[in-house]
Amino acid sequence: MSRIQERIVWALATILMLAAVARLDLLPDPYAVGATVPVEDRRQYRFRALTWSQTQRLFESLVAAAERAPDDVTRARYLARVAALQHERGMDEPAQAAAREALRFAPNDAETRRLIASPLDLNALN
Amino acid sequence: MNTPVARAARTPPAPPAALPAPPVLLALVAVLAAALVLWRVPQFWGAVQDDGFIYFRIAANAAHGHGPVFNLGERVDAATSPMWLWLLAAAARLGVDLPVAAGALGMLCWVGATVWAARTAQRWGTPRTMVQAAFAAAPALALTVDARTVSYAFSGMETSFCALVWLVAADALAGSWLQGSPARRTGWWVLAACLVRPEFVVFVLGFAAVALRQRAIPLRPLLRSLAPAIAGGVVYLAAHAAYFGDPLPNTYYAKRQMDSVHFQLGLTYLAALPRTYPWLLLAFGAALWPRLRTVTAAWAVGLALYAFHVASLGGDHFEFHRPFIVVLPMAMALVGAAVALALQDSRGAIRLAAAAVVVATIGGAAAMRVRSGAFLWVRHAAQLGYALARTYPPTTRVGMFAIGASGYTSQLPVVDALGLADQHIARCDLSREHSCALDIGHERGDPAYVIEHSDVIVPWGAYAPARFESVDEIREGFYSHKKFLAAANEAVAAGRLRIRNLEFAPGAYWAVFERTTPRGGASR
Repeated sequence: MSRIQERIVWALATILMLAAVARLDLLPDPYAVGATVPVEDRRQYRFRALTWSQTQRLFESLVAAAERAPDDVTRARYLARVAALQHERGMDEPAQAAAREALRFAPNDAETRRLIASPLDLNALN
Repeated sequence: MNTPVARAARTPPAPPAALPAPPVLLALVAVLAAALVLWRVPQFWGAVQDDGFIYFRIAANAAHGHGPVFNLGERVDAATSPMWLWLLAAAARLGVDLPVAAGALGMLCWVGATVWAARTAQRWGTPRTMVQAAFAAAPALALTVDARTVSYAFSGMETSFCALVWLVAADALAGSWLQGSPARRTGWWVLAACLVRPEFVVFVLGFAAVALRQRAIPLRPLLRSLAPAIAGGVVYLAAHAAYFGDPLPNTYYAKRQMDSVHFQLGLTYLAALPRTYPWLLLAFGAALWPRLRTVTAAWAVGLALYAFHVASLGGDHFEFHRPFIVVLPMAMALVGAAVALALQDSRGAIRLAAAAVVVATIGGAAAMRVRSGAFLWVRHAAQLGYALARTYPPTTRVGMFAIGASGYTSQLPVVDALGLADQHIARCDLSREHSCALDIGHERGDPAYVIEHSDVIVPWGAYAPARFESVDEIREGFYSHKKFLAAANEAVAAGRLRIRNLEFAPGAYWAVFERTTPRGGASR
């Protein structure tokens, strides 16, 4: 390959680098005032976008419902919801304890296992 | 026997005069690397990390005549890389937008590191055919194929620049100390490498130890070749001490560790390194070829010392084993050189294994991914900075756990709760109470000091598309932050602080703490 051809390849590399810089400059500035980006819910109690006080009330009602439950499977499902809620709040040890308790009451209940394995959704609480 | 004859006899022979690899091959590597980076631009434009913004603020201050400081009037060195800082300051002086300038320089340096790694592989491996030369250059391309390493070119930090300068300096050291090339610029490259990141000193020690052990160069010429680095280093340290009142940067005090707990954490961190970059281990395989044994040994000794240093800090909190990205180009140069030599082997199995190594390296690098949204919080922090500047007067002193993006866009004076830019906190060590891998790099803290010296305090990552009602809603995260939140909770209960939701984007809020009584001259 001749010297000229080699220079052409280097020139192509230079053009690509300049294109990369130009592309960088032409893209919208993500750090400019007002640049929008989806905001994740970083609250510790971000559970279904409830406020902290709503979450506290929900937690207390779930525990009370578990205590009042007419049978083991119902109790296990309430405890599974408690476990999921605690897990959401970063309380890993209590969440594991609640989950173990739930499985003790209903070791073979698929719904209990599903609740433990996935975060709660609104419908699951009604 | 230490006679000159014995030394000369033990000097490794210079690489044989093989057919030089066609220069066009390096140009083709440059084309491919540049094309890959060009393709990645939309993915990573917006991946500036918070520490990148720390550089931006200091560089902007330096460019406007305020000195290389984070807070105006406070001579505290919060930058780890002086050369990267001055490059950015020059860009700021020219009026270039700093995130763009850092991204452009990062891309250029990473492509440069890729090409230089390919060039070094060619020189060390001396391929004899075009195919061998192509295979020798291929491992270097893994550097730009790997999305994780390319993301750091856009981080705003010195990582790519450091990787390039360290590679060139290591190449110069290998040439002049181990392969008998003239040492005209070696000392200058070593000086540059140490001014990019001073940890390069350990690689100098590694190359010197092996060169002297092998008697590849006598001590006196070795020291003479280092003269520019030694003289430049002394001048730099003296100037640093004269300006900042300390020869060492504040970041040294903020990050130093060296105890058994951190060392164990660091060893665990190192143990995970081969999973992150399996091809780093391949570089050691270069020692199988006698011609590469000395340079591999020198690099390995330097790497071992460097790994010890990283382990002594407890590892690092940045993703993808960032401290080792800067040594990857050196490793890939060795891998490429070893591949070139393996392809010259008469045994077919060796040639096949070399080709397989190249394919596996490129394929493995191509399979690596960076999770989407990994750097979004920094964008929120930038918007928070604008909100802070809109909300509070310019004299308001803001306590922050992530001083970069919010500090850069707000331009308000900052109390750095983690100590990078604060001399007092850099010397407070909470790791004596608690230490875990999550905390590395965030172990300094003095909650009472932050509350006392700040008008407004920004907890880390306290944002949501809803208002915060209570301190309990703010995630504790690392230990220093947890300690602060406990103190803030008490201060809120005692009526000394109150929570305010700053709307940093439409419908999105960041919880901050405000003093209920004005501190110093700040008023609202």
